[in-house]
Amino acid sequence: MNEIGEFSLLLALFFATYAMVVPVIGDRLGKWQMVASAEYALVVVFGLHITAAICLLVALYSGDFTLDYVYSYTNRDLNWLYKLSAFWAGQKGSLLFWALILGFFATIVLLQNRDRNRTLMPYVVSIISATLLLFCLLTVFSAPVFEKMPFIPSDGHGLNPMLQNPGMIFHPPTLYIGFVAFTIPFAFAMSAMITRNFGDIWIRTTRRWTIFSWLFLTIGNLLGANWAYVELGWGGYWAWDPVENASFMPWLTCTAFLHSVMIQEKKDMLKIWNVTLVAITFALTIFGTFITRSGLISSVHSFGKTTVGVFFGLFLIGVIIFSTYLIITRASDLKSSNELDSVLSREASFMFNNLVLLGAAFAVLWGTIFPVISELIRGQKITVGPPFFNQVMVPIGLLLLLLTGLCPLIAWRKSTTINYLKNFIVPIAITFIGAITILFNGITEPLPLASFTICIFVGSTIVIEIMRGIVSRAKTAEENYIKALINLFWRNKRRYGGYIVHLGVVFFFVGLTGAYYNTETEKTISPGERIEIKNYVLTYYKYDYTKPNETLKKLKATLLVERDGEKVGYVQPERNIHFSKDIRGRLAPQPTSEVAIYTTPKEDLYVIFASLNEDESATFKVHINPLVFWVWVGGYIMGFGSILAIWPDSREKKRFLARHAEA
Amino acid sequence: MLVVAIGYLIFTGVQVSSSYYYTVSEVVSMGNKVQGASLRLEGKVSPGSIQADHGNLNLEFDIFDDSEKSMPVVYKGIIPDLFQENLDVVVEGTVGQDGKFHADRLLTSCPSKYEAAAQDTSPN
Repeated sequence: MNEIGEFSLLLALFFATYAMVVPVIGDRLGKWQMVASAEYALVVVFGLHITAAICLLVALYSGDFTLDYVYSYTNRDLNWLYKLSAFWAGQKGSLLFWALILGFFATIVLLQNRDRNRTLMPYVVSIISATLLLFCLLTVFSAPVFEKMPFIPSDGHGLNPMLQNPGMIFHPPTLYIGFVAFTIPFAFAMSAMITRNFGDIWIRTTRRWTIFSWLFLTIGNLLGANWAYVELGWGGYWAWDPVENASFMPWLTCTAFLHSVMIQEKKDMLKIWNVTLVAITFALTIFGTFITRSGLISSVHSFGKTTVGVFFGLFLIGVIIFSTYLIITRASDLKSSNELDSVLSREASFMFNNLVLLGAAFAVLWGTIFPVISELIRGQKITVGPPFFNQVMVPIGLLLLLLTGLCPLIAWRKSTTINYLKNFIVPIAITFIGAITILFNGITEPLPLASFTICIFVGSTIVIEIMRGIVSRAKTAEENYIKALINLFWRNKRRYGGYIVHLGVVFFFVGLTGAYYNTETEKTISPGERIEIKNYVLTYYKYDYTKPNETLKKLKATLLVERDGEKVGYVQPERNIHFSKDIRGRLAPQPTSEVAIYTTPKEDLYVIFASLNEDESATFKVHINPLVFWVWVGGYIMGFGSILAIWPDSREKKRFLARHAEA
Repeated sequence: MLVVAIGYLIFTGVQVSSSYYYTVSEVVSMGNKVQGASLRLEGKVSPGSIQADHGNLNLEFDIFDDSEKSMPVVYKGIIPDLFQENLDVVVEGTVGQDGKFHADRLLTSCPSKYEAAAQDTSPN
């Protein structure tokens, strides 16, 4: 089996090379058979990677410890789900997984474009294959997943207990899918530049891919945050670690791109800008992988040092040179026919939103690579920590949130002052009342007050906009309000999907702002004693000791929770000791904390069982994290909105055709 | 204007939160000069040096680097799950008058989020 897998990877390398080189030659010579053969070659690469993936999964499932990878990430006691998810738990497997998804997406692109975009396709195939080739090279030379152990151990090393959490099964693949999907818009954009198709064909073709990528980046980041929150046990969900920043930066630029393409579609402007954004976002997806796997930036979770980083670095340089060259040589043809009509037009406000998003991405980038920059310039390695990011990103974030409310209210082109007053007067009135209400409810600090006020403003603009739509539809179509709401959303999926995403952003910010009021305490207490924090009282009741299997010992503490003097339940934080077998079969202990979280919409009570002492006293760390619940709620609303926005829409197509028929 | 604003934010942000990255031997050789400065120190936990008082959440240990120089570290707070001898750790804090490193933060770089932990048990 393993030999089959290894051989498939090697073969894939040759087919990917073929699919990269041949379509370009075929197009230049006008030989369509050559292009077609390259498309088949690309599908073959996908098939070969499926074969390799099956071989690896079989090895993981059956516990074939002759393989170094299987030994390193699994053991006999591991749940079969974690055995299979070890596929992407390690560097080597994750690279194959990445190649597999890219092959899958490439196959879908080929099916979608059998009869469309034929002038673009040779280059699309070539660019996707070039990216695929990178992963083929890595899986063959740099990180061979089928590498054998020097001898056959009786049991595996086991999966890091921190990774044995459902969030970890879904988090990495979700992010990978987000990263990989962005290859498609990049390939189409660059192909459009090469073939001098300067219209918005490439944008229309890849709009869904872009939102799809954005959706997975959003969910992937959230799952990561959630995993950190429930598993790492430090009470927070985001630490501005380089690895987190690596996936946050492309998210920011992708968001910018999603907005600016609308300007090109509707007004035929910002062409150079859009191509640049695609290139930057794609480069950032590679860059993120590069810094985390090259060891260039030290992170709390960096990968083992291998030559993988070198390959990514070289590829990154290639991407930058290639796209810069294309943009510069095509710049004169990309000049827009339209100019900005007014500073107060929607185009201008979108442009502003774009600049802020890009500025945010730049700030994150700067903070992330600061140790490297400072070492180059001053010969002194200096790091900036979370305070840097908080200081820079909080104002930028609030500005972005405000724009989320303002932009949709501003009409395309120039609008009159009367128009603005009409649009803004109700939301401003609501915001004013809301701000006073929260002020009198004890939110007096400027930062949270500002944040909540902007949240109310943005939320009210969206709700009013939706209500206005419902009322007018109910009137014209003679429907009741619920039916009008459903029809309104269903018939304008893209627009209302966008509004729902914005609504999610509002909830998300409400949750983020809660962090301003985080409190924590740490105390060692004996059974019967209490910890008081804010309006909560926790009474340490008892602890239990169990040993479910040979490689796990569990310690569970039980605490009674009272809020405002009333009993609300029990929390049971755990302290587990996992034993991983080393190569000689000895057991090495590794403790992990399983935090207990008591969630309400108002706040999370977050309890960590830090240690148990000889006299039965135990140390607990307790956090009260207000409003965290809304971070996840906001995230899922964003996800739902973007799914609505990519849902196939026949009316959208008709509207588009009608608009272009007129023009 | 926007560029200036973001530039300003970045500049002031760097001012407030930069901490100098040092190796153990650098700090040892600089002696008193670095007292009080905000530092970030990387090294390995010396075997046999760990003294933990779980009740008071007080941890003392030495860290060393390739040059075999070592530095005593004092840390108050919850001991990270992965903390053990020979592990790569990052401590953030200041060098006190007692010549010890007083850490406010102790980060265990688990060899990776994705790579298995406890690499020290592998053969070679």
